[in-house]
Amino acid sequence: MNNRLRVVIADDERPARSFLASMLRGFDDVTLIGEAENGAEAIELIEKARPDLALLDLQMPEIDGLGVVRLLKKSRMPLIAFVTAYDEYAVRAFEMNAVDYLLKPVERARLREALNRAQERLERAESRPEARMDAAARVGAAADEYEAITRPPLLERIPVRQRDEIVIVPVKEIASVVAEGELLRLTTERNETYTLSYRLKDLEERLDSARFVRLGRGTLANVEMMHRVSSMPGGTYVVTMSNGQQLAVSRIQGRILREQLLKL
Amino acid sequence: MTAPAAAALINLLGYITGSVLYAMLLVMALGRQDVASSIGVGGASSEKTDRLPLLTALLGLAWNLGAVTAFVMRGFVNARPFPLLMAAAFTALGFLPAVVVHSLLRTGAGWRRRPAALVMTIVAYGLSATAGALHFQQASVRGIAPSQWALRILTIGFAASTVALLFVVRRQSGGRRAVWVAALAVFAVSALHLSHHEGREYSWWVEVIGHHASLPLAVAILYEDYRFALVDIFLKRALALVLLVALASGLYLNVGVPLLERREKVSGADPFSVGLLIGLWVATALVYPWLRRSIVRFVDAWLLRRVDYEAMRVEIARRIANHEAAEPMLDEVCERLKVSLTARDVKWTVDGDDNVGENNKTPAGSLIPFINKSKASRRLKEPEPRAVTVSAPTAEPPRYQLLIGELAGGRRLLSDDLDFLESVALMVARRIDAVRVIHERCLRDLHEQEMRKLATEAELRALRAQINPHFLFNALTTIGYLIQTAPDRALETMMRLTQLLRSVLRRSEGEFATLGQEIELIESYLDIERARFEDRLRVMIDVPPSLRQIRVPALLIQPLVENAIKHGVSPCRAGGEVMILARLSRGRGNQAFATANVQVGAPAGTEETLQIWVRDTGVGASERELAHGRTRGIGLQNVEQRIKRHYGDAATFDIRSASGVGTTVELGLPINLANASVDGMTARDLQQTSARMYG
Repeated sequence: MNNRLRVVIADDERPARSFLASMLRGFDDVTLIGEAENGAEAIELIEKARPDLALLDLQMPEIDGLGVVRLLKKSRMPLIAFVTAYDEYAVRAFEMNAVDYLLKPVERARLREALNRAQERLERAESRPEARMDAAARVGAAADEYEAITRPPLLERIPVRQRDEIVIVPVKEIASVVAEGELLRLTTERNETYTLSYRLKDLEERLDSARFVRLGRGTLANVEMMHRVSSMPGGTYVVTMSNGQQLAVSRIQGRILREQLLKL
Repeated sequence: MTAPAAAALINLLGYITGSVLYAMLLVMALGRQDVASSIGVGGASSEKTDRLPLLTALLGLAWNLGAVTAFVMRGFVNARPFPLLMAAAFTALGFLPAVVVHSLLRTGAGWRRRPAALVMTIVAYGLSATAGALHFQQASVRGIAPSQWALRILTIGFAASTVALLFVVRRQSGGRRAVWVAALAVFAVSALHLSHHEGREYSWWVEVIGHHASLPLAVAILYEDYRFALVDIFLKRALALVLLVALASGLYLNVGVPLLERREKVSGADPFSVGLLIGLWVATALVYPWLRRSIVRFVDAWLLRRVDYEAMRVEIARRIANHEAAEPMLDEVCERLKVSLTARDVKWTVDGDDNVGENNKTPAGSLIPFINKSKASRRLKEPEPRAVTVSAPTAEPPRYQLLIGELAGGRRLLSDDLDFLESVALMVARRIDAVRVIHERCLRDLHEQEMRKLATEAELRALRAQINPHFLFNALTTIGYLIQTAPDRALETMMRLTQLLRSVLRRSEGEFATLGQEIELIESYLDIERARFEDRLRVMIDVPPSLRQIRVPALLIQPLVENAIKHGVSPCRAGGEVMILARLSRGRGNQAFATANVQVGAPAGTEETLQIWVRDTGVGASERELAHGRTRGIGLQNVEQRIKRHYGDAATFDIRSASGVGTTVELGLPINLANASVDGMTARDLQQTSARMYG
């Protein structure tokens, strides 16, 4: 049958994953094309297998369900239904943005509904390709809203894409973050660079402010890796990082920097 | 002393007494109008203020003042009194019986239904008016007053009226009728006497009856309408005065006069007589206070049959001091007042909001007793015309009112009854205030205790809520999976979950549980989590059996274990190990995990500390994350707060974490206090209790 719904599952807990998988196998119009144990695997699986629907557990180590959505290439974005045991904030965010979700332990009838809805959306997307992008945008909005409510703790690791891989970059290894248009460029102490689709302001909020300071409108630098500060004509500075990278400091930030760093 | 002289003296005294009596009546009538109470002629008679007593008082006063003026002018100045003045005085006298007839015939019912009474009243006023006209006519034309004809008309007219009245008022009560009719009859006789008065000498008693017919009238009115006032205010003073006068005149007549007469025979010298008079005067002056006190006591005890208010006040004060609640206190006070005032009923009511509107005379926050006669009673279903309400001026509402019903024997509340009531009301109010303050304090204490308990329960609930939903649904998902793949393990896990839920719920009974119970609970919890995370979660528990009897705050350690899994093991792809370790150590100190000083069974009595470590090898946390968790995370905050509340500064709580290494939480609980704790009571509570008991 050509129009069988192709589904993937992502959950770090095997019992939960198996429970859902066995339930999915009970439907004859659904094909389970893969299972992922964590967020990174999920991204890889989704981009490779290109399912119609991904059932993503909200809580997974390192890259959680929302992280998967953030890191997926927009063109590869399937329909998404989140799975959670109990998270009223998430549920609220999903409901407000018409994003499908399932509660653990997943009920058969409820799962059937989610599958039906996915099928309907797929049919609609065939006649109207932009519907697919709408769904992706809604998921993104729900994720933003959820993070705004729950104020997640400070980041310790930042997952970034590098070609077809997901790389986990420890925050303490990051030397600088520089905004380049819509994207952010991370530079590590070993001079590796990664690009990240995130707003600098949002990222700054999730980084330790004692470690990362603003050098200018589009630059964050890791204080621990600053090597030399050179004064320039016109009241500006140039900071040389331990990896050799040079960063310009605006006049206003220069004053703040002097207050914070250049005092014994 | 000659008969005419005695008669003149008695006349003078009579007129003065008359003036005083009518002045009293006037004052009372005016006072009654102010209060607008029902104390007045015929009790429930009219809603409007009664003008008749006022009129009577004015007429009587006019007559007596006129007569006394005439008497003084005739007797001392030896001038003929002004005819017009005399005419006016006699006119006033002439109107008195008409007013009496009016009062006697007036009842609650309208005039229309009793034409006889109406006719009689009009005839009476007609007679008086005729007589008055005749007086003035004669005074202005012939310069003589009073007119003999007018007096004859009055005599005949009112003698006839008396007979007619006896018929008309046959249905009224005997005593009342007798008083009025007698007063009228005496009046008729008096008019007759006055009409023959010119130029003749009569014996003194004829003078008394003849000239002072207004006196019995005044006494009758006072007796009828102001009986208690009469007895209380007038009789006490009057009796004292009469006794004083009797004493003085007795002394003068029986001691002074014979002595002076004998003295006069010897010589005309004065010093002795003056000395004698002064001596007698001083003696009577000295006797007066005692006389007055005796009279007051006599009148109160025998005529008014009034209880000793001072003793009663003390008695009531003593009684209400034993009461701890307002209502039984008021009941008892009402009972006492009922007896002492001989009231038919004394009740108390709550001075409700609806009352405030009506009694707008009552200042809402007034701290003085407010006496309101009859107003409140009118609002009752059955009218109690003589009811008086006294408000007990408590500092705060609800305020109470004492309702004094009708008094036995037509008695009315007089000024000192009201004083007594006021003071009792004040006393009651102060006592209620005191009771309320005590009550409030008790309530506040209770409330505080309740609040503490509630806070604890709320925290427990929060704690339970924290382990509940997420964990519970994940556990159920795990069981759901196990049912399909390994039914035996599913059953086992379900039983663990059941055990866990049961023990969590049971913990609500007391704040404390033994460490053993807590560890069992944690084992159940970890078993379920192990089923969920499978080989990603490894568990190590090391708690010596000897420590398992130590009492610790319930559900204090479990949240730490849960945190270790949630924030340590679960975010780690490879999982991690959770270790729970307990040791006893002497003194407090933050020994490092690795160098835990194992001291099992250390001698009791010294400051011993139960050290508990919860450690995971998970992702760990930075300082920032830790701070975030300690201030924002419900779990850690709750644990810290509870430790603080139970042990104060005697306990230690420490978290160490390193990114990528894991987190260690170290608890140090002082064991003596922990052991001393009783279920549901914190160590601090215990200390406070004992301090209260012995302090």
